[in-house]
Amino acid sequence: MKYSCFLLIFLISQFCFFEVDAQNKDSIKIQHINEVTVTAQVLPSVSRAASPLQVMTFADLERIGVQSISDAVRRFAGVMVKDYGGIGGLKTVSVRGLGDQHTAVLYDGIAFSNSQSGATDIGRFSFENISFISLNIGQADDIFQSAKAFASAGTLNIKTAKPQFGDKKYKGQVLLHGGSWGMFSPAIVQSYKISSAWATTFNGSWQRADGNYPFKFNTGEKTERRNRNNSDVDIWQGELNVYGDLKSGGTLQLKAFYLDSKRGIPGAVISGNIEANERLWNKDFFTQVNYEKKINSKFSLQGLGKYSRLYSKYLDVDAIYDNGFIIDKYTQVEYYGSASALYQPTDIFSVSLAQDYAYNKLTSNFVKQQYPSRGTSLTALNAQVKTNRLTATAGILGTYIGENVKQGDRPKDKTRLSPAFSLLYNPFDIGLRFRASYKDIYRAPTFNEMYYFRMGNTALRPEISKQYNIGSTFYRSVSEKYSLLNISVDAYLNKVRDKIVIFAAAPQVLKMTNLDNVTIYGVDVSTTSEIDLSSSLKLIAIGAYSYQSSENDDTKKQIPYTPEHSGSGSISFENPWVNITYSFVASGKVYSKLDHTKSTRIDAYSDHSVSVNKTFLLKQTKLRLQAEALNLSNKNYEIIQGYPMPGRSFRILAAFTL
Amino acid sequence: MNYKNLLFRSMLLTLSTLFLASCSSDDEVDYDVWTPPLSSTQGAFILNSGNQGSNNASLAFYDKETKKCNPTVFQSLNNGLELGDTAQDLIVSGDSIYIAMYGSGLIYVTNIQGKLVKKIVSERDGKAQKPRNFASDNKYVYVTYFDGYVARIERKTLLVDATQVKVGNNPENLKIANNKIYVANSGGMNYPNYDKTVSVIDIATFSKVKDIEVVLNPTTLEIDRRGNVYVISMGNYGDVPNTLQRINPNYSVDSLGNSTLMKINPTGDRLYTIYAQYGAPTVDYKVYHIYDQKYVDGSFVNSDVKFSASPSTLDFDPATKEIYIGTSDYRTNAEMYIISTTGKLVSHFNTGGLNPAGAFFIK
Repeated sequence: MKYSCFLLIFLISQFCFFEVDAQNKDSIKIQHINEVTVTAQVLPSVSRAASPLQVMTFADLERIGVQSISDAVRRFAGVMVKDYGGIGGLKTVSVRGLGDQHTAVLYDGIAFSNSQSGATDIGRFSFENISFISLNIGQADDIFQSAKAFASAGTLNIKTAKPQFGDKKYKGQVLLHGGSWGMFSPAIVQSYKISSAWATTFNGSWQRADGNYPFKFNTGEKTERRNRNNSDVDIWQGELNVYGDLKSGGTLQLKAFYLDSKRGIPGAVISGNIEANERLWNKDFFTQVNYEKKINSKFSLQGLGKYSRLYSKYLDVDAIYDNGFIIDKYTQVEYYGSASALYQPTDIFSVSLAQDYAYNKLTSNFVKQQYPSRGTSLTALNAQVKTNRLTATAGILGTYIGENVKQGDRPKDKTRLSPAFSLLYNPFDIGLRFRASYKDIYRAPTFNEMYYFRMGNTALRPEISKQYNIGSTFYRSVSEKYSLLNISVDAYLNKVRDKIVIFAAAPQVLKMTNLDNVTIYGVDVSTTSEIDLSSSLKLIAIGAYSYQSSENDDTKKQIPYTPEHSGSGSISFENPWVNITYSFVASGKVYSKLDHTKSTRIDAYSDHSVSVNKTFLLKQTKLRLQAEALNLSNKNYEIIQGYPMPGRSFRILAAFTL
Repeated sequence: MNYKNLLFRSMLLTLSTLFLASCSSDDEVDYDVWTPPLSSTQGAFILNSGNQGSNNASLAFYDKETKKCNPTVFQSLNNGLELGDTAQDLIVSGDSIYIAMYGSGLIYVTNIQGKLVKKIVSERDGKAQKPRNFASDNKYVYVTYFDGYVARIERKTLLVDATQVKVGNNPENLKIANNKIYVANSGGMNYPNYDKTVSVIDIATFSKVKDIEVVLNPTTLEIDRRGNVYVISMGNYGDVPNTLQRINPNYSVDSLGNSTLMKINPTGDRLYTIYAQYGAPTVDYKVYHIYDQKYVDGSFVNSDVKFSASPSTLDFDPATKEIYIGTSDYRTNAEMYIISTTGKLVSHFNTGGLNPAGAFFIK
């Protein structure tokens, strides 16, 4: 509970600099734009969103000293990143207590597919070329997107940076990351301007780490210092983007991505003599295309296509297996296509129609595999009225899922109509807006849940969620010094039914079942303040706080892994000498099971970091040096029970821009 | 009218209210610090296996007088040391208790109250072997290791013999009858190629003398006073259901119908069975009369008794003859039910842990 005090004091303290200035209510004296890498993408506006939206630009990430997507996402309000520790540990995103399979991750507008587990592991992607990351809870305001963008309760959007050449033909960057426990990662970003219409960017990286960080273990007689083991990672990643700006012919972006990772799975910390022996290899390839064309002032079209092949191999060495080991191999293939049209007959009214089709199949090396496949058709119809005072959006998503197997029981096809409404109201023109939204959406059972050996259940129904949100945003320049204040406060109610859980249906028989109904209500607050102390000195403060009550409708107790209080914050001091940021992430206690006892309790934690950076301008190049000290309190706190986080550690980054 | 002022004041008010509201009540279940009872026969040890791959196994004690079950026995007596990963079996041998920690790869030997005396680790090819179940005679405690071996621990010295007997794949239960050790080889880690043998080890020479073929995936054994060995095979969770067979002293095998759990009663004349096959509409509680060799009429649990989850363990209180049935859903702390000799529900208690392995009475 003391952490929730800390969070609230931090948020309230941002108002200390506030001066009430009656004369400023009508006009914004200073238009404040973050100093960002100027990109062609328009940043989504958090204050004008009818459903909660949070954005972190690459400049924010550089300033705070974030070097991974999971570290960025955990700072958003209303988000729980389930982190199994270390660099290679599994990390998935759950929004507002709904569960990680309710979050879609879009990369440049197209969703990462994971029909097998349903949740994207955001842990393994490096992000040298990111423009911004945004989290949208509920319905998106941009109605000109694929139908898939409307098909999840929450969407994490990762957008890459389109190269801006100026008058050059080439831009390049070489980055060197290093850090505790053997972390080393070189990376390059190379952009070429092929012609006035075409450009290309390639980014590649290699990351390796040992991950053998120490932690404390109670052996009964004493507290011993042990090291995590089998925690190594070795990840190669490459991405090629080709951009075409065909003027009236439209814009085109082609992407090819390949990731090759090898990781050890350290497992939970257990009393005893068993060593962790599990290993995991992933080879992920996908290619996607994004084409947009404005036909005339009223009509635009967009087409998306994607092919992805995700291969994973799992190995466990143990004498209990007949051959002394077991290997599981899985290959998921997806073909995806989307066409959407936007029609804007007047300035204030627009309507869009999007049609998606995705075909997913899973094969494995398992002797009794069913060869499941699934065809998903999504149709989204949205209408929006947007004036200076009001943004009202109504949408409906039609889903048809056709399931197929070559062996075994074939699950029933699934259909559903999912409506969503949102409203944003700007009554006073002072930067204050009010919003309300409702979204009815589902998440389909995954291939693991339906087909996993013995545990799978082909009779599973989708989980259904209903989200209600009301809130307000405030965005304006307060005074000359306090150049930006941005606050969002939202209160929400989520009801989820038919949550899929695993339970023992009979001795030796674990089965996936639609079992739980959950009611979640809470409040999310996020704030940003920018204060110009002088022309060269600036303070930027960001804060997020969430209160959440997630109860299982039967037991009326807080469901596992949902803290009542959580939040994050950072304060940056930008100056001509060395920029410095202090940031923290904190969470109240959670329980690992439905039963609340001392042994299922995971204590509250806070994770404090300091980051410094300085940019040097050398003849033709720019050198940026950055260093972080992470988890200053050196506590091996846990997010998932049995998986301690690293203690105090260090990271450095040297980035040369040519 | 200053909207901004009003807005900020109301926001501060809201935030302060939230802060106050955060002083919510704690719904955590607190267990008292456990102290051993005056007499171990005052109750039973309940072994909670926990989830595989987690560190949440626990040793609990159910006190028949207070009707309370405290799952903090092991931590309370051993300075907070957690029992570990997947407690599979417990045996009382003289003044000691042996606990097989399958996931942690070791055997804990404690005194009769639960205080740790020795940790036994057996290694093969540099890796700790994973113990499953126990049997004992005057001299040794025998244990099955899941990599396919039976080992023996000398009770006086608590040392594991270097010689181990190779049996089938993934041996589970083992029981002693006719001067021999019968071992159920499940082959459970090699699905769909389950093992289907019961190995027979001669105690004097400590070597395997025979393999008897039974239904696929045998896991559980019981012995009666005539040297018959009862075997439950779990089958393949598909077309081969949970099956009960009897191995006669001459090694012939008879089929006795379907069963998932079994225990011989304290007087030794009846075999109580529970058939809880996944997908079956009901759970059957049937009693097999050992000497008459037939099922005795009637369910030993009355139809008005409702369990909160699937039955998973079956034991007898040797003093009162009452039946202890543990249930498990693998996600919430288990309930254990006490049934009278006439099938009525006497009481039930929460074991304080997940996935009970059984109720163990000190005789």
